[in-house]
Amino acid sequence: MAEALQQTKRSSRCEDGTLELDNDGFLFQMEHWSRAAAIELAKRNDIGPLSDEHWQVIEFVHAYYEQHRQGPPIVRVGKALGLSAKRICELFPCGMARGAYRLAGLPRPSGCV
Amino acid sequence: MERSYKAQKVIDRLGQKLNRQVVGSLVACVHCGNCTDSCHYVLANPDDPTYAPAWKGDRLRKIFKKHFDWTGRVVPWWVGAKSPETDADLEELKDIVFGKCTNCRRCTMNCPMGVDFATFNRLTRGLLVHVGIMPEGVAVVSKDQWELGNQMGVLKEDYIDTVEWMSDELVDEVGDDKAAIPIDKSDVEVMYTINPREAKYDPRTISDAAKIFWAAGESYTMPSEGWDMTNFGLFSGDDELGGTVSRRVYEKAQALRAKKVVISECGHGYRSTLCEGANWAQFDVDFVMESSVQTMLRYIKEGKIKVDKSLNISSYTYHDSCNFARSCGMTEEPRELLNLVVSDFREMYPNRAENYCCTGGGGAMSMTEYTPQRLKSARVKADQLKATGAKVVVTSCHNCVDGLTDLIKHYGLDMEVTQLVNLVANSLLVEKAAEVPEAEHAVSTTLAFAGRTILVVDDEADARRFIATVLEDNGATVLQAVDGDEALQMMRDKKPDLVTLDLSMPGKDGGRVFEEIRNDSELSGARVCIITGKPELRRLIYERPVREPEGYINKPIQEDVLVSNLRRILELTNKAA
Repeated sequence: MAEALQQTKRSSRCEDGTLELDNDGFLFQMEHWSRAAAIELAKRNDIGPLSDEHWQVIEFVHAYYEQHRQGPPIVRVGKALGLSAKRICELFPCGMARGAYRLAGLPRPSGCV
Repeated sequence: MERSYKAQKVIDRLGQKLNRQVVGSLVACVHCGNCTDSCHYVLANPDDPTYAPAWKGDRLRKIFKKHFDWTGRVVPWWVGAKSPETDADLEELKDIVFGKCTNCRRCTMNCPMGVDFATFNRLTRGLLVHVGIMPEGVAVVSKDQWELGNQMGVLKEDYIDTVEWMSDELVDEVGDDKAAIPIDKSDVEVMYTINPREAKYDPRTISDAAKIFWAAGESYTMPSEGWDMTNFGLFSGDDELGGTVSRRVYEKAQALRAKKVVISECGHGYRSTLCEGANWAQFDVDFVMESSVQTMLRYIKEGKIKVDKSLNISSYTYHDSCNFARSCGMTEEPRELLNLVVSDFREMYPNRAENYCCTGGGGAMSMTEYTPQRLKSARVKADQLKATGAKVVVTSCHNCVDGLTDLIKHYGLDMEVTQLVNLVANSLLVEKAAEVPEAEHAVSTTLAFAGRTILVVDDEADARRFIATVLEDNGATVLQAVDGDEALQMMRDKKPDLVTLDLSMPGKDGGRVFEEIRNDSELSGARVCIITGKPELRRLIYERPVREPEGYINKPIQEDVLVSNLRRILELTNKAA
């Protein structure tokens, strides 16, 4: 059952086969995340070019998920990196979930987002 | 073969859940097909009958006929009576009720028999959830809402930190310690509740709302718990969850002795908390609840906040959320508010209760396995958005924000999505906001309309006489006109300070008269207050490409509403001039 469900989520594959995404454009398996993957995901989501600030956020989000098995609320990002909410939203115009989470290789977050 | 345990439970549960509304909808369908064209899924899949609301409804209807309706006992072959037998049957049902319908209710609007398909689609979801059959996303979200008190698993300390963070940023921005956001303050006018998406991903709406409350001088608080006004019970069909979630909000409001709960811009949250929650929770609500849209509009109308629409410079259209507009009738207030804070508003067609779904409703955003068919069904919405020619789509629903964002990206539209709170906060004139001008005190001691000439335009003699009497009692010199032509002539001759204009009149309707006033070089600056017994007719005004009227009043007219509204128009426009 669970396996069948996983299969339905696996939909599109990048041409060179390096990026496997779910239906919502999130990385299918976080283990396959790399800086190159983040750059490719940024291109697909019209974000960037990636600055140092972008990378700080992406790396923080990735590390936070590895530790907590959950994406960080924006306040954790802002406080840890000394960025305002406004600044973070400017860096990732499509939002934390659709921007920073995606680029950091996180799976799609739950809830109506 | 013996029926599976879960299938039997679903049938038993259906028997407990049937009520008159549901049975009425189950037996009334005559399969006329009117619902078919109204569904965005059908429009994207015209050759697939399994998307038609009547067909989808038949999946539950078959079970109902088989076990609860006499027709199924007498002529089961004729009415298509059939039970689910296996867990696989239930899985199939799940893919229909969760994956092929967003419960947007547009088909209901177009049903001549009044079949409320969304209601029993929700009921069917509830039957499946009861036996643990649901999309993974729905299960995760429901669990978070049961256990952590909010649907995105935001921990209490994270939530408090977020509010404090926004509070600090706001205090810095406006340079006033009084702008700090209170948490758990009791005996306040307003308890402000939000969608967890605001806390977790984009808290700018929190600081924008706080800025508006501060500018209006409102006594308000954000609660430390019971702050999530969203309710996955509405989507999953689980009334127990629905009741538990809404009870948290109600009990917190009572504990804080708040007079009013204000619900931030969220369609399903508004419907759940205001309309459904008290019923699910069996709770006596003894406080007022309103949408933040109404709150912001009131602040502007009462002169508590001042806005400058020239600060929002793009072109805007408005997307009606299904729960906000179709299910709760909230169609005019957002437009009125939007027209006060932007100058380029473009109506979307169809609109209001006839609007198409954002395609992310009914919890669809949380069910990733159905995303491809969701995005495919969004074609009609994309076309609708594109036809407005606007650069920004405004909506009063967080779910719609994400649904629309997804489809805008998918269909490559050049548009942004925003909410009213952002636009109001952006157009706020903070320096002048909090003080009460002296002129208002002075007026209250004398007659409200002393020295003013007001023209009353209405074809009904009774209405005209009533308005005239009230205004004369308050010191006005009153002119009366029975139709549009007479009104235009009188305006030219007598130059009244204000015109009250009835919308439905024989001959030239009020909308046309209004447009002529606005396009007339001599009259275009006139202050006009629209009066109508049919608020839905206000669209006759909004759809016109002219500056909006200074105010609206609904019939039947209440004396105090009439006086206070007209006075506000005269005073506010005076200061602006």
